Parts: sequence; C-alpha cells; structure tokens
Amino acid sequence: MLRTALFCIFAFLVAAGAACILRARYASVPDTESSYAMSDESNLARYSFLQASQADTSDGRVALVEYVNLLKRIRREGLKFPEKRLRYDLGLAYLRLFRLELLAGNSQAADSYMKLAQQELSSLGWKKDDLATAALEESIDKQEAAEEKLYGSGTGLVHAHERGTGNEGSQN
Amino acid sequence: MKRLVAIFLCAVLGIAAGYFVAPLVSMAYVESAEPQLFGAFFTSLADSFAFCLCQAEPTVKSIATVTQSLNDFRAWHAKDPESSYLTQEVGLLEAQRARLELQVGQSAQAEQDIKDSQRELTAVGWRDVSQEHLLKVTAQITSEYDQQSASSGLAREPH
Repeated sequence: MLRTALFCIFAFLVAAGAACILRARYASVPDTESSYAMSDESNLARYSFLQASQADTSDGRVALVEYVNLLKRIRREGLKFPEKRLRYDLGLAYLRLFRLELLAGNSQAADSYMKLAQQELSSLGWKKDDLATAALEESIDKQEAAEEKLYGSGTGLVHAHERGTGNEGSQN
Repeated sequence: MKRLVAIFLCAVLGIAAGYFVAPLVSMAYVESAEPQLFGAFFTSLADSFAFCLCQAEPTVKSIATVTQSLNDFRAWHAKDPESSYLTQEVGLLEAQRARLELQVGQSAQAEQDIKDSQRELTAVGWRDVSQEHLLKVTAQITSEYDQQSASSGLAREPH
C-alpha cells in the first residue's frame, strides 16, 4: 500500500513537472514575454514620441534609439508581435530620427536613418514613389506638423533654430 | 492492475496540475529573467489607470486614482533613478493630477504639482514646461486614451 502511494506521488510529480515545463517552454513563456513586450513597446512609443517632440535633440535621440532597440530586440528574439506593425513602427521611428538628425545638422546620420526607414517601409509593400526620400520627408513633415498642433507649444520655429538648422518651414 | 490504474490516474492528475500551474511559473520565470519586461507590464497598467478616465468617475476619485499611480511610479523611480522614462512618467502624472485638481478648485495643490512636474520634465530635457503647455499635453494624452477606449473598449497608449 505504502509502495503504491509512493509510486502515485512520484508519477504525479513527474507528470506535473513535465507538463509544466512543456507548456511553459512552448506556450506560456513566449506568450508572457510577448504580452510584456507589447506593454514595453507601448510605454516606449509614447515616451520616445514625447521626448522627440518636447525635449532637446540629445534627449530625443536617446529615447528614439532606446525605442528602436526594443523593436529590434522583439524582432531578433522572435517575440510574438504583429509583423506589419513592427515594420511600420520601426520605419516611423527611423523617420523621426532622420528629422531629428537633419534639424541637428547631421546629414550623414540623417541619410542612414532615411535608408533604414525606406528598407522597413518597402517591406510593407509601399510603392517606389512613396518611398522616395522627398516623399517620405514630406510625409514625416506632415505627420509632425499634425502632432505639433496637438502636442506642440507653438514654438516649433524657435526650436528648429535652436537645433541649428534648415527646414524651419516644415515645423509649422 | 489496480495499482497501475492508480498510478495512471495520479499521472493524469499531475499533467493537469502542471498544465494549470505553467502560466504562474512562466510569470515567475519572466520576472526573474526579464525584469524590465515584467516591470513594463505594471507601468503600462498604472499609466492606463492614471490617464484613461474612461469610467466617467467623479474628479475627486480620479485624483485618488492618479495619486495611487503616481505613488507607484515614484517608488519604481526611487529604485531606478537613472530611468528617463520613469522621470517623464512621474512628471506627466504630476501634471495630470494638477489638471484634475484645478478642475475641483484645489489650486494650492495644483500649483505644487505643477512645480514638481516642471522639475521632473526639465530634468529630461523638455523645452517648454509652462503650466499651460503641460496641462495641454496631459489633456491630449487623456483624450487619446478616451478615444481608444470608446472605439475598442480597451485602454491603450495614444501612440
């Protein structure tokens, strides 16, 4: 009787452990990580957007790079995340970095961010005309102008000068 | 034969127990292996409570909700004082609470919250930390949360 009870306990523990490990390894851990990664993405999306639009160039750059690194990590580690949204978010973040570097007078860095944005957005099936540098520049100008109306302090021109730059007209 | 059946039943019970315990074990694993991701879940939740005033609750109750979230964020920030994200969040929540306090005429508290908010947001490089601008930004964030809530039934971040 005692021997049977011990076998039962052993069978219970082994089966429970195996089921737990298998479910955790192949379902629960990836799902939990994905769910948390989406929360992290939400947090950093707003944080980086606000830093890029409200803070100094260096603080905006740091926040956007942090956001891009998270998105790249989500891709690298294969976390469950809508692929199209990931590409679009990366494309938009690169365009924001492009604008930021352009306004800061770092044209080389701006160009490399534009190329990365084009790469991400082309994988979404965007047309060649829409992916042209001028078209994307116009597109991000329009988006930032619309955001300026909602979140801006109405001093965009001043900041563009402070950042040292060209392209002041597109701030408003 | 009875012994085999008993052991088999125990194994089946074990499989069921392991299956249902796995999500809890996973959360514990992710908490230890990925503390940043784990923390993001809770900060996202606290942020939703503070900005999504979707329940049309009285302003005084909303102030209490924002205060709770603010206390949580301040505690997290104390553990990670270098985090610009947490500094920004604390600053935004202070401005959000000031906006609500002004609605119910608690101008002295609102003034103090605005000062605290200005200090936090200046620390992360914000150029315009005027009261008018901070109230506008937090009102816009709340508005976008409310729109999301109205359209999906869920609160989500504005961007």
